[in-house]
Amino acid sequence: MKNAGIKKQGSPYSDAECEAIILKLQAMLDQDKEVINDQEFMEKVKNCEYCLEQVEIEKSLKELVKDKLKSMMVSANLVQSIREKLHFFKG
Amino acid sequence: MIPEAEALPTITEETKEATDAFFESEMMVHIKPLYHFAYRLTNDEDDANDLVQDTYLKAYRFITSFERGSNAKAWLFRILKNSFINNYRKNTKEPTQIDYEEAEVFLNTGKAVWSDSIDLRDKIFRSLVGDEITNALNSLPVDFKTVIILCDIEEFSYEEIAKITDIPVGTVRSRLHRARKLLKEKLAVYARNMGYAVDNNEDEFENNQDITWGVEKVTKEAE
Repeated sequence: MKNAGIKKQGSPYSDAECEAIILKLQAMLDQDKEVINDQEFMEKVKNCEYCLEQVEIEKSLKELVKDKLKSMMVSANLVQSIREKLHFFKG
Repeated sequence: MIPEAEALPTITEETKEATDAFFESEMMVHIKPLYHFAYRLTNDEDDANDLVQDTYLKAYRFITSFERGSNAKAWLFRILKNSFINNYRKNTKEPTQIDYEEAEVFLNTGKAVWSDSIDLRDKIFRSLVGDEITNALNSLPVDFKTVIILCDIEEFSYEEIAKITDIPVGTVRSRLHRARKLLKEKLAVYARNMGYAVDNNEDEFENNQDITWGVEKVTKEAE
């Protein structure tokens, strides 16, 4: 899979390996138990400079999405409207 | 799955009071994250309000199918997601299913090489404002957008996302991966439009216009 995705120049891994590693790094940051419990993979990450850099990249993106999109105002009328409709529904 | 109405036990007068109290304490507390999710899906305040109201009416109607002690928030999100799919998605211009072939072609055409320094990329990330992130997120296929919202904004686990979206955990994992890759591409375009130079990586893509954000090459032209 040529030019498959995120690839750092000088990476010791093939494109396909990069994809698989990055998928697991993302899952690690998402606290996916399957990956966190994969001791072999976690050791590999700790000892791989390239992987640690990728972790920072993925962490930045994740934090960016969360920080920029988290806060939003909820209309005060929404709760009231839901209660009224539920009341009507309940008869 | 929310069972058909006919198969559900009805709420009797004896249980109504307890049901109402349960509904109030366990369900109504999730309005804010539900609204967030609805708004991110619909991109419209009125549609989001309608979707949340519809979700709560369905939740009350089917409350007897909710397993006490299980995750009420995830249950509500699942109802909302299904309502959105059933009632709203057909009215949008978005494809009914992700065209994975198309997405894969886009991702594999050599537009996804990131080789800049971590600090610099973080700086570029931080310079993007909320609107740009929102636009990039909204430009994703709805199934991609959904998993990113559920994971990164609402912080559901993969298992919870799998239940909400009716897909296996492994698919959640791979879909998130594809979604994030596509999102990075969208953000790279915004960054270039902001004035960050994005040069060709000659080692990888000779004579093309692909975005690489080379470490030493990236400079902010706007300044």
